[in-house]
Amino acid sequence: MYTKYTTQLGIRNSVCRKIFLIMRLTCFILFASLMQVAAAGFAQKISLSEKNTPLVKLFANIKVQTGVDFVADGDILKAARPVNIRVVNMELKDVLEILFKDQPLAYEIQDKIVVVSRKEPSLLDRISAVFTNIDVNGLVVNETGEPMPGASVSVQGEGKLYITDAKGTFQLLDVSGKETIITRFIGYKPDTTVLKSKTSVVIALKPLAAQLSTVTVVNTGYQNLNKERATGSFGVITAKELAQFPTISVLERIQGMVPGVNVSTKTTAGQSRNGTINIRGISTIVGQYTQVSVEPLLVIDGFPSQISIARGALDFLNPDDIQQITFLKDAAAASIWGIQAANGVIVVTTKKGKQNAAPTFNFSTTYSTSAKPGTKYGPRLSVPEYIDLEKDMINANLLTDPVPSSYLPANNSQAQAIIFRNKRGEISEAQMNADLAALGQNDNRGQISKYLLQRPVTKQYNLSVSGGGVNSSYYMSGYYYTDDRVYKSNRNKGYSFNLGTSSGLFKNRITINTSLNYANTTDKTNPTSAQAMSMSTGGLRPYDILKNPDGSTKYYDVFMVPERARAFEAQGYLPFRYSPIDELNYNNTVNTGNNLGLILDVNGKITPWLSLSVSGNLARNFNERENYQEPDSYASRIMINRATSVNTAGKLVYGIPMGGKLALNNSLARSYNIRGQLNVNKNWNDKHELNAVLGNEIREVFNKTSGENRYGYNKEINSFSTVNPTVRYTDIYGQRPNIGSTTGAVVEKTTRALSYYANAAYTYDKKYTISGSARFDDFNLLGVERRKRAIPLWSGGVSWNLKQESFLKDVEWLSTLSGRFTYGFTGNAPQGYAPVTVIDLLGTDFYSGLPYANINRPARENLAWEKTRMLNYGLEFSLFNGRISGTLEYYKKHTTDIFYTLPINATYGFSETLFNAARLDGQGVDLGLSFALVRSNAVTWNNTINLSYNTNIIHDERFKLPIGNEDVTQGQIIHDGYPTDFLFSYKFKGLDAKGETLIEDAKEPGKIYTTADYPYYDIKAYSGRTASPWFGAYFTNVTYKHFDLGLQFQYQLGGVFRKPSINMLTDFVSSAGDLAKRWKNPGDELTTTVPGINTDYNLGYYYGTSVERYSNSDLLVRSRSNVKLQQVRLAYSVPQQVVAKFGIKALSLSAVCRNLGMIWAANKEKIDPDYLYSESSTYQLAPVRTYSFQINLSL
Amino acid sequence: MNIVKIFLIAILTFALASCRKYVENVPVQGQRVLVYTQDYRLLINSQTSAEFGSGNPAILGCDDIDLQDPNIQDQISTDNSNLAMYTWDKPFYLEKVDDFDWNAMYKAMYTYNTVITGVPDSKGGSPAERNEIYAEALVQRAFTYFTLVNSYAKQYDAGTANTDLGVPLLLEAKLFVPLPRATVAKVYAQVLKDLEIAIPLISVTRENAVRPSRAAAYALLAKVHLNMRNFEAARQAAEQSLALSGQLYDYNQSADPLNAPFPTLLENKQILLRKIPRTTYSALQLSDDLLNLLGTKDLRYVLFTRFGDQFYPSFNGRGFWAGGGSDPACVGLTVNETWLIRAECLARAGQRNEAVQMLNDLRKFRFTPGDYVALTATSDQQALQMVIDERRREFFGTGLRWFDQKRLNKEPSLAKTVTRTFKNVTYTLAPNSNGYVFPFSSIIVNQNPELIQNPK
Repeated sequence: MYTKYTTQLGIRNSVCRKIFLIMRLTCFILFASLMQVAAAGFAQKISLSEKNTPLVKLFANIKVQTGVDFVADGDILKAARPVNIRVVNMELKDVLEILFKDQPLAYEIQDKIVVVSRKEPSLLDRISAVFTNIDVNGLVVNETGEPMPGASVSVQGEGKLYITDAKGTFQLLDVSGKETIITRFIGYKPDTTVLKSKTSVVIALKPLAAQLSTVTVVNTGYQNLNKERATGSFGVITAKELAQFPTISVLERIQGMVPGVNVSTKTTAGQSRNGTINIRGISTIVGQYTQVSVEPLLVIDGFPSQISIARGALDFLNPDDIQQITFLKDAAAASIWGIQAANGVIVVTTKKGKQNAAPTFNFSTTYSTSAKPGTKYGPRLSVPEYIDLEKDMINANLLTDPVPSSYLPANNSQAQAIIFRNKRGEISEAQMNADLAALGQNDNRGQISKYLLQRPVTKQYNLSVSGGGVNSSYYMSGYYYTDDRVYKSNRNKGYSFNLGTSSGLFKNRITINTSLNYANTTDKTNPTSAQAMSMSTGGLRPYDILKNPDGSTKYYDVFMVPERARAFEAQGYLPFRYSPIDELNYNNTVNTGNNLGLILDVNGKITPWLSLSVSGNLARNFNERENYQEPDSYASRIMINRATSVNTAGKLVYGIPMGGKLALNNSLARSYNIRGQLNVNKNWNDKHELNAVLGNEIREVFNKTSGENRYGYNKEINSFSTVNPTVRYTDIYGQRPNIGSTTGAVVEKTTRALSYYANAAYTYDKKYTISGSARFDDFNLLGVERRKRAIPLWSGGVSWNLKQESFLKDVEWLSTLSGRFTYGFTGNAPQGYAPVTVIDLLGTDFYSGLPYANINRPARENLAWEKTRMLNYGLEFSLFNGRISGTLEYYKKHTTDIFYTLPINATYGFSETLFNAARLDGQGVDLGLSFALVRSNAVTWNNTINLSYNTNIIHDERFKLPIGNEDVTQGQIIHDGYPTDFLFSYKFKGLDAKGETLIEDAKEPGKIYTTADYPYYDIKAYSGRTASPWFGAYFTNVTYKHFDLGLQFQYQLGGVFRKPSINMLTDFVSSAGDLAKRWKNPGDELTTTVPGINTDYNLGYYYGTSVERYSNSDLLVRSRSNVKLQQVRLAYSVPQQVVAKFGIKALSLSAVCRNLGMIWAANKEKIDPDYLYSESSTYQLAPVRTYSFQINLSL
Repeated sequence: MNIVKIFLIAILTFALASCRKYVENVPVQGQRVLVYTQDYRLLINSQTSAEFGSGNPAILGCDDIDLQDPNIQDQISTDNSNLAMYTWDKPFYLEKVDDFDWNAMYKAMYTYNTVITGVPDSKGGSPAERNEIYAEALVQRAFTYFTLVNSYAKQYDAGTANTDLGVPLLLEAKLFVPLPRATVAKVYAQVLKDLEIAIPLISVTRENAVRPSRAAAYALLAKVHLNMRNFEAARQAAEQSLALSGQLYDYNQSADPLNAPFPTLLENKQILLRKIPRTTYSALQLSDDLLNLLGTKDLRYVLFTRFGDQFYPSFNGRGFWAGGGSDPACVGLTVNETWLIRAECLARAGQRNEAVQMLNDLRKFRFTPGDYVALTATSDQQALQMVIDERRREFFGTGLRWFDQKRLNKEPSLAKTVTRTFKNVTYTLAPNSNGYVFPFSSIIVNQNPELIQNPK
């Protein structure tokens, strides 16, 4: 844009342009020689006398005196310095010489026009500049030292603008070293730094006064984005926030931290840790045999984790190494990950060293101990009541005497044995009553707590060193933890090492980052304690004590009745006895996991705004599971006894060699990724900003599993016996089985993916951003054509920074306000099904010895992709200088063509196959709100509320199914018009005169069914959802000087659960407390709702129905709503001036109490809906109250 | 710098353009698309589903079994299906309950049809290999259709076979085609056709009891003709089979089970094609009728029966002890069955001496030398009755008797009305009654109404 500065005489613009074109061409041709132009031809004399006058003003004066016009590019004159001049009657040529002497400008006289241009240095200048000029590498960081990508850097007096890259760095080439640079970032104070010939500078920006420091950088795994200018929905947890939780489990640390992210840390009894995580509810359905993943993709330092979260991927991470966790919640944020992102993405970035920093040592240790675990789980029958129930069941002919049976049944109920002894006439009625009364004195709860459970104790140690030189940085850490779990003989421990370096080469034009980490976890599990509390083999009835009053161990016969067991032992069989206390020492399963990861990333700058990075990773995970049944263990003894027979000579014949058994299972996963990516980071005039990545990558994951069993194993002397797995032997029942395969199949699988991706965001005037993202994934899907295998997935979004608009700029109380809208879709390919027949190779058939293969699924044509479309509206605001800030988001998810296995006529060869079936409509709200109630120098009081709402509903005519007895073990069952987590209940209508449950038809009020009626369908009514639609957490934090007190509450609102009640009654009688109130005599139906057992054996069928209808009735439905106080934390950081004397940078101490339990629950029994007692071995005790102490030291 | 830029961009462009093969030529361990002859070999070797012959309904329904003990009666009452099968009641399967026997056989059919359609054009094998696999699949399909049509349709009768409804005849592995029931004649014709094609192509030597050989194909052919009452053709086929593989197992070798256990179906040379029942009821109490016929000296009594306390539920009486405890009962094709088919055809053809000689040759292997007594027949009818009695002794517990009852009902002289008393109620199975035709599960009838349900 050229402007004429002396308009009086005027030259038309077009002429100016033409002149310039000519001039530039000339300049180009005469580049080397004609840089300093001499003026000639004018004879007018000029007189001037000015002090500190702008150059432009002098041009006007000269024009008046000589009639000469001046033209120049408007911008360049801004760089002109004011002039002092005093000349009398001087030639124009000489005057110009003086005027331009110290200016960064050149001029040229053409006829009566002086053209002013930027001064081009002469060749000589250039040569000399090479020796004196320097290249400057800069880094922009925020107040916590985090790099800030997207900051704008300008050199004063020069029009150029630089934008920092993803690592927060920028580069100034060929500068004199005297420049002043100005760095700007929204929400931060502009910084002015004089270079002073330094070749590297670190610019630390400070947030605008009194504004809460908000996280501004989000990482998608492919790029760092400035959150202000991103359209997608991101949730972020920082290292500082994670450090507030003393748990080993990362999942427990992030519970409740991000709206829309639902974490359940409930595990099963056989596992030490992990749990489930879902982002914004579900977007697909796991039905029978549909292989879709419902877990978010986990990305660690830019690369997807090869093991899933459910399989413990997070356990291999040192929680203290985590720099930040970013949740990619909507399609715009996640779709760059393509097909893998259907359930959202979790991006973990680990800590890195800082350049130009002295080494910092960080040491932290945490010790946690817990309250003593109890065994009071809901209302139970008292021991005499329990014995009474067993007696009633025998009298009702619901149980039969196991002793006369020749089939060797296992029923080790002491009470039943006494009663049957009386029935057989071996003891008198009085003796029986006395024996039962004596048995009723025992209650094993105290003993279970004492001998089978323990206080969970965890210890964590972490040491890290980081620092950096001029062009390099490093970070190293080591971590060790142990975790003794609530069940005795269950212990988990692990360690990890991490090393990361970063080096700059060729004046930092090329950066090389490497990272190496190794982690090991060892998980020892012993099933005894959990079994003892269950109703399976090894389960204890309430009077089954563990130790006799004299202190000796009490033994039980759980394999067969004692009479039979003793007879076998007399023949020379091994002891059949069982004691949970003994078994705690035996039959441990040890799972050892090793995880190794290597990352190499080379980033080269092509131009200041364009860079190319090539990166790759290599990961290996090897896992060994070892189960050793010691020769003395119950499992080994029974295994051998079971395989032993007596020959005609009366000698014992062993089918399985004496000794123990060792079962080994190995799995190996290895993967690599190679990625090439172009990054664009361009800013024009501070008005237009373009941020883009374009790349492609390849990925291979290889999995292999194998296993073997060894018999006659003795670990102490490392001996085992070779067995022939096909030879048949006679077992204790007279059957002739064989040992069976001692080696598991070797299963291998290679998965490959080829992907292209692009993501671009353009921001205009810092107000309007438009973004788009697309990805194309191609997989090795057997037998599927490319066009069906790979479809592009995309998303787009806009955001509007309203605060930058003129009408809001002056609204003082409104600090920020922006709105976002995104739309996009992700999908799932119909994996596992192909339009052609696929066979599974299954190795050698054990029986026939022939290699074989099966068709596990029929060929399926015309299966479409499952597609999830997602809409997201977001609003972000902060008020009163950030005292109140928040994010409010509303999203809708529509998944169509959901893969669902539906029945087909089995005559075709398969009884079900995959269809594109239902539609799932989900929606939800994520609300995050922070407010500082007090904010003074000494005291601050901050509060954060996270609240999420999520719901879904199924639509499909094919699922307008009658509500029957859903068998949930068959996979997820869905119903048209209902959410996926429905609960249906019988409508309980009291008991009839026989004490049997009556129910009402769900659709016809007043229509009552007795247990003799067997209506199959539509006899259950909807009770609600089994997940709470509303959930979240509230944090409140008070800081006073060096003390910090924080409380975390977690809540769930809405949803229902069914109070656990009577299990089906077998010889292992349920001890549910409800049974105390069971119907016993006619007339009781007026006072109780619990069905009776007083039923004739032939009606046992109805009896089961009666109990089943009661335990699944609406009478037992309760609200899930509850509030839990999750954690109270008090921290003290020792004042700087105190610790400095000891050469310590920082020292802090904290004490944390966790799992303080429910402070409010909607259900009247105060049952925790997350830990419902079930009489099965999968029951997990609710977490006990934990006390942790933590020391954090920096040197 | 420009050269570097161009170079880098060129690399990237190259990388973007050249990768497609990366995902296409990956060997997927453990899975394959059917291409090579070897793939079909693996499929036809599979015993999953292919090992199941007839099951519980035939075993429980036949007159070898009589569940007199109250313990068993109580136990079996808890299972609707077993109860219905035992009392010749219908339906067997309540609403929403699958007939897994049917499902398993048609699942195997999908594999056979896949092999039959695909193996002739497969790559990498010799014509002989392809033919052998093709023929094995045809024999397997023939066996399965033969079992299906005999179970779910009326006994073959030349007079009515053209109108009697059989079973859906699927000859291609394809979903969602209509499932009308082919006539009994059509199913039998298909079985004969498959065998006719298979016999010249199939391996002559018996490799293994799970792979059909020519002897097995002839044995099946003999069985099919026997059921069609083509006794001459049945005899010829039986002789062809016995000529190729005619070795009987001498049960004296397993008289002391602890030292020499009864061979498994794989080890037993008598087994031409191994098929087992998909499920068997756990306490098969044998009828007095059968036990009287068997006597206590018979090695088959010693090996294959046990006192009731060895079963669950335990009972008073003797129960069927499958395979001498080594293996399930065989419901496939055996030398001894072919042997007895030939004997029956000889007896029917008036060659009673030859027929009785065959029986005696067999019985020498079924008694200890001290207990063996030779049989003699004075009339052809007596010889025929002896063969049929020997069939009962030889095959009890397998359900083969059910099909014999069904077959022999076509001859008034051999037809039998069976009655049984269960919980004080007497049930009767009249010759040629609907009780001999198994019902379909309501699931498959509801899904495809063109599949017409059998009458009650």
